[in-house]
Order: sequence, then structure tokens, then C-alpha cells
Amino acid sequence: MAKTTTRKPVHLEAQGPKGDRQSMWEIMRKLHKGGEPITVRDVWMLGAEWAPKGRVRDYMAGLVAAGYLRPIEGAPGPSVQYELVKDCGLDAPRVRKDGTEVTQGRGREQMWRTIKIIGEFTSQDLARAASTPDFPVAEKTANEYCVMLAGAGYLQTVRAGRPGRFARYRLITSRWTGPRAPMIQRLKQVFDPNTGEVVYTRHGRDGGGDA
Amino acid sequence: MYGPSGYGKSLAAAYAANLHRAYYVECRESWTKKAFLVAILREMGIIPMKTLSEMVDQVAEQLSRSARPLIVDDVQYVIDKAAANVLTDIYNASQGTLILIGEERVPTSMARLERLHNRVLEWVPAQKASLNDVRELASRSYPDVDMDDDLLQAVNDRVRGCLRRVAVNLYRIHSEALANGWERVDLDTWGERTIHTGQPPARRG
Repeated sequence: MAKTTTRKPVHLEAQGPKGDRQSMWEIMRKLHKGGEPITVRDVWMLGAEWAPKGRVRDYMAGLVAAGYLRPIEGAPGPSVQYELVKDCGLDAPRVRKDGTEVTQGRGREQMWRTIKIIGEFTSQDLARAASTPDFPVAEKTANEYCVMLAGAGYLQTVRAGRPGRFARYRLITSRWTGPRAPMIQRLKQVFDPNTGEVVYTRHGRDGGGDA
Repeated sequence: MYGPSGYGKSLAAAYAANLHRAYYVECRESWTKKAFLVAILREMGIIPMKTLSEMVDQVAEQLSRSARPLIVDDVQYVIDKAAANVLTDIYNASQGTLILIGEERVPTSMARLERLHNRVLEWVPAQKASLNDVRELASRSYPDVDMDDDLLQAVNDRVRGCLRRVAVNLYRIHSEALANGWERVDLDTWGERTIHTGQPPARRG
């Protein structure tokens, strides 16, 4: 059993539609695997042609600052060539232009993960179980998330809430679409990044406020 | 980590998973090797390749590259089957962190899988709830009612430290307290009322 012989490289491709970071990142990994240098131009042409080139440049600058990419010194040609020095797998690093990590959406990510794990829960339970010291989740946020996910048909309402009693929810297992947490958009609609669809729009509460 | 159900293993898993952005899969009785691998890849958001060995490689590659741990809950369902060897394969190929969570009998069942058993770094038994845990849970969940230690101790003894059943009882105590307008409940106030242990009530009469 020769365990250390070179394995055939496996291909990791994300399911569903890709955001621009994700598709740029996958192109960079592909170039890297093929032994080719990475340039802004290649990444833009192969993976983000719909986006302004500046966006590609900014993202790659962020990756350099965060230590994922490194310019190859003394490379021929007019444009800077990069190599991938820290490959963290499938998920595109979420970095800003200065290399700092984008942490927006971590609370939501934690809630989505927790929903799958804890079975039946109230929004209060969810807020507690999904909180970490660095990214606490407020009960109000958890509650809004539950209401919207229930509306979109991801959660089943096991016991309806009433004044003084929290509603209890449970994830409908077949509706778990993937690891990326559905987002609530400003228009009060739920967008599922796993499928790229808007799955729910809340009607009938015109004028805002609580009914 | 192993222990009887209701001790809070899954809640602990949720917390750990969130801290380390871990991948989490919960096993099912009916799972084959393939179902197991597909479930992990789905959790990672990766499109599965065709063969089992390619899938193992995909999982292993993602685990070792991302340095995120993989938590496998209810592992007792796959430990007696061929799917258990998939775990060994994944571990060997990735050298990543695998956290296995299962019921009380898991360490014994795993002893038969020598290859996997001797790779376990640490066995962590889930702990029974202590009076401190129960007190903490009571004051956090129901800050408006003061529950006395003697009552909490009685509850904890009756359910033998099963936190899920403690929670059920605290809920009942709280509702009863609200109904009667108590601000403080001790064992005397609670009196002859029952403590829920999960046992069906004995036939009377």
C-alpha cells in the first residue's frame, strides 16, 4: 500500500451560482494547479468578465496583503504575475483591499449552521446557541431570521408563538439547500445564495413597524 | 465525545462548530459509504465526483486545505458499518481534525475497529448536569422566578443529570409559578407535584 505516491489532483468546485469572489478564487486555484502564473488579466477574462477589472485588481491586492498570493519576482512580461502561496481550499477568502477579513454575515452563518444542529428551538434558544464570544447573536436578530426563514419554507413552525410564549421551529431537512446561509435583503426578502434565487418576499406589512 | 442523549452533546457541538467554523454532519441509520461521503461534500458545498475514492480525496483535500474541523454527530449509526472505514480514510488522507460524537456505547463499538480506535486522540465523556449547571440554566431561562437550590437538586437527582429533562422540568416549574403567582419556589412550595422523568405515570387505582 503505497500511501505517499502522488495522488491525482482532485477538483473542488462549488455548487450553485458563484459570487464574484468565489469565481475569481476558483480560477486562481485552477491556474495554480495547472502550473500557470496568475495575472489580473487572466483572472478577469476567465472568471469575472462581467465585473469591472478594478474589482479583480482590488480583490487580488487584498489576497496579496493577507498572504494568499505573492508576486513572482523577475517574471517576464508587462503585467505582474502572482503565485498562490496559501491555498485554503474551496471557499474564497473574504478579504478587503487592505487584506483584512470581511466578517459581515458571520452571525447569520452561525445561525444557519446552528439551526441544522440543534433540532427544535425558539429564537431565544437559537440566539444563545449560535453566539460565540467574537460574534454574539442578538435575540432580535435571531427572531427576525426565524420568521423570515419560516416564511420562506425552510423552517417548520412546530408551535406557534403568542404573547409571552416564543414560537418553536425546526429545520425542514429537505429544504437545507447548502452551506451558505440565506440572507435577508433590505427589501425584506430572502435570498438563497446556494441556489441564487429570491425565495420569499414579505408582503402585507406596508408602512413598516409592527403590524 | 460520547454520552447518553439529552446531556447537551449537540449543543456543545454547535458551539464548537461556530467557534471553529467546522463542518457538521449528522449520521443516519440508513447511510451507506456513498451517502455518508455525499452528505459531507454537500455540507462543504462541493459538487461530488463520481467514484468513492475521488470523493474521499475531495473531502480530505478540503479538510486539510481549509484547516476547518469536521464534526460527525450520531456516529453510532455508521460505526458498525463499512462507512466507518471511510472515516479512517478521510483521517489518513487529510490529517485533519475529526470530532466524533456518539452515544454511550461508541467507545466499545469502536474498539472493534482497531485502525480507527488507535487514532483517537482524546475520549471525552459528556458530563452529567451539576447543581451549578442547573442553577445557571434556571436563572438564565427564567430570571423572573427564583427557584430554590433544594428544588433544583431534587429535579437534577430525579432525572439523573439529563439536562434536556431538567429543562422540561424548569419549564413546568416556571409555568406553575406564574399560574400561582409565586416569585420564589422551593421544594415545600412545589410539594406533591410531580417531577417529569420521562417515565410514563404508574397506573393508579
